[in-house]
Amino acid sequence: MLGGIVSGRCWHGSRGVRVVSTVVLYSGPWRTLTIFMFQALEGTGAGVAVAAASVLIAITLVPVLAAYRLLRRYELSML
Amino acid sequence: MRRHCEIAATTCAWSIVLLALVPFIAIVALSFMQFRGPVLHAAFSMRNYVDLFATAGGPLANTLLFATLAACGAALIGVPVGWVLARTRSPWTSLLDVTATLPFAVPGTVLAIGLVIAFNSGGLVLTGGWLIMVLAYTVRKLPSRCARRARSFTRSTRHSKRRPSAWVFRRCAPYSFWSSR
Repeated sequence: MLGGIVSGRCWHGSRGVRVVSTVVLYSGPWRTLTIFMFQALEGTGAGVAVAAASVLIAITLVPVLAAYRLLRRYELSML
Repeated sequence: MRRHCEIAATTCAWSIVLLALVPFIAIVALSFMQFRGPVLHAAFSMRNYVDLFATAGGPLANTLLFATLAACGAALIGVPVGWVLARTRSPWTSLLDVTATLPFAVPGTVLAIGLVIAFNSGGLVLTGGWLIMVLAYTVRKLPSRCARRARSFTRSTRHSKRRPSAWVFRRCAPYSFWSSR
């Protein structure tokens, strides 16, 4: 069961912070990286926005790959 | 003939996977290139990342913190709900299933507006704070969490004898709960 919990947690962690509800809920000091990207794209910082997107991809991939490597024995429950 | 089919299937699968990965590869490649306004220049550098970490430390920390808290919250709620959905049968289970799946049907913006209205006044004011964002992420992703857990529990129940063996050996419910794969 550990595999399921960890993989679900990684998946949730990576997908959780999305711009859809964040754009309505965030206030000044609590903006997330997706809001930062949104604001950068609206301004002139497209390069920074793309770099932020790459960091988000890395944040997503690293825990998933680590969980996959560490919990290969529980692969069935990670599906 | 079978060998050819295997090669064709593997090629097809890899093509689909690589096609799905093209946007991610493009983003990573573009992140090393220089933008002057909206115009792209083919000069590779780490400038974008230097600017990012100089200006976006707070948003990055918020992202990691909120995602971690929401994932923990969803695990705390979703795992027991998934266990109940997979292991018990009653009218209340169906109601719980529908209730837990409901946030999937609600668009994220609508959910966010609902939370703002609900927690804008009264005894518990969360609007404008970080907790309402964690709450939104937790609620939004809860159905998938429950579904995944329920699938996992159902599979483990179908193929194993853990529950009867736990009963025979006088193990408690948490034993069969944690030992399921």
